[in-house]
Amino acid sequence: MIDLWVVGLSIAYIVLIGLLIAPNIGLFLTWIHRKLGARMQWRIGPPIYQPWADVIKLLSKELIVPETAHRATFLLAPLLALATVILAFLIMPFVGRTPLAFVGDVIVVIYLMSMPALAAMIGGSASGNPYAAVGVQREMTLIFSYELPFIMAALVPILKARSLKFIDIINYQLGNGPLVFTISGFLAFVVMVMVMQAKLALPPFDIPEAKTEIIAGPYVEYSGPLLALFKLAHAVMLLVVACFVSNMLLGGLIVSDWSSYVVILTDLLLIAVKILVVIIIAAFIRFYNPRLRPDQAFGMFWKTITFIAALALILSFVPIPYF
Amino acid sequence: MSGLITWARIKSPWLFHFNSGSCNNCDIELLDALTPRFDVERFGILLEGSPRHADVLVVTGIVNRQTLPRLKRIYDQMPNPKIVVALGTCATSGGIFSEGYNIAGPVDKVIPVDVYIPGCPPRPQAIIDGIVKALAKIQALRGGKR
Repeated sequence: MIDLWVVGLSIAYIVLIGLLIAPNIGLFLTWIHRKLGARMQWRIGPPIYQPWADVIKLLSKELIVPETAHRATFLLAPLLALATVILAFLIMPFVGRTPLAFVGDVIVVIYLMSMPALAAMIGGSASGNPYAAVGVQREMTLIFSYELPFIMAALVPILKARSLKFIDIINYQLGNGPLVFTISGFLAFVVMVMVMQAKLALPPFDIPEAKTEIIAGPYVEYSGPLLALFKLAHAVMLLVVACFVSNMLLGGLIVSDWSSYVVILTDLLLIAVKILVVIIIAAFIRFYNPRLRPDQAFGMFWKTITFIAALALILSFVPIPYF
Repeated sequence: MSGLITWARIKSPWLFHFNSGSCNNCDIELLDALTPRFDVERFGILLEGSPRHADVLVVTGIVNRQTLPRLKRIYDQMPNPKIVVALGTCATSGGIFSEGYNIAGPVDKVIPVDVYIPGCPPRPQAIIDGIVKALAKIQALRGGKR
């Protein structure tokens, strides 16, 4: 018999953390991206409320379903994107504890993180627009090229900690220091940063939605509230990817001791710093690089980045400290 | 609630640029207004590639018989509420081409126009001022459907 208290608390957790906190942090991180880009171009940039204004405006606009679209699929794809990224955020430990932890949560999160791209592909192909079709095809090729090095890089912390649970990987790093300070961990970090850029479809890998070539790729026909859901999913995805990299390689997002206020404060500060470091690296790559041609990007992933990931995987077996 | 929506609409106008047979001077000036020098992202203005994402339709050039159906179609593709800005002398009145044999415009003969920005071409400052006037119009209408 399921306790009603547990059900109520779980629903409260999902609503509070998943639907209120995660999108707001995600939108704040997108603002950091836009502001940093503006400062790099010597301009002032958007005010801090800009992402919220964009989302509220899109939510208030008219929803158009094109005649050529498959109605149900077209309407459900953005919901799928947002729901999967929020679930990924809920499963991952954010301040060291999550009620949803289970054996194998790393695998589930890796799967959930590829869902927004799949949702964009589903929605794009359901919209019946030729530009969307080209975008879907590019997105698919990009997924095929980055998933292999991504999983190889994610295997490095899994093999080091000998566990498929986030909590175990974080505890291993609490004992032995963050994995990014080892050679294999650093190589895995480099791979993950590049894959992160492709997963978020940011330059130099914004090939699927290249604005100057195919307008907006899979999102071409989306308007109003549905586009707002995709924007929110993208914002939460920014947070999810930063949390994933921090948990796997940067020592984890954890408050190590809940009894002392000093430790809680310093650890919360460390959590913010870790997420911001990942986000700022992504912003620098995004604003200092032009878009790669599809074949260049796929070649880069299959040759260079897969090679680095394989090297990291092999080095992680070397039984010497700092390897 | 409607106050919040009006605020969001004013703070986040996304442009879609349509050239209905312009000589490209107005287009160049519009792109100039969107460069980091003028930094219109301060006001939340972004250039969008798809009319489905846009709030403001910026039309340059006389509307000729070739572009007439396209302009109508793009206007219909934009989700409500939408604003139309006629940019440049040709778009506002037809200019020196107003008596041409292939003219179907100016723009306000085809679709309802909210703001006219005259000039051949208008300066980027004038374009930004025009967009701001369009936003003041949203404020006056309180975000109601047109």
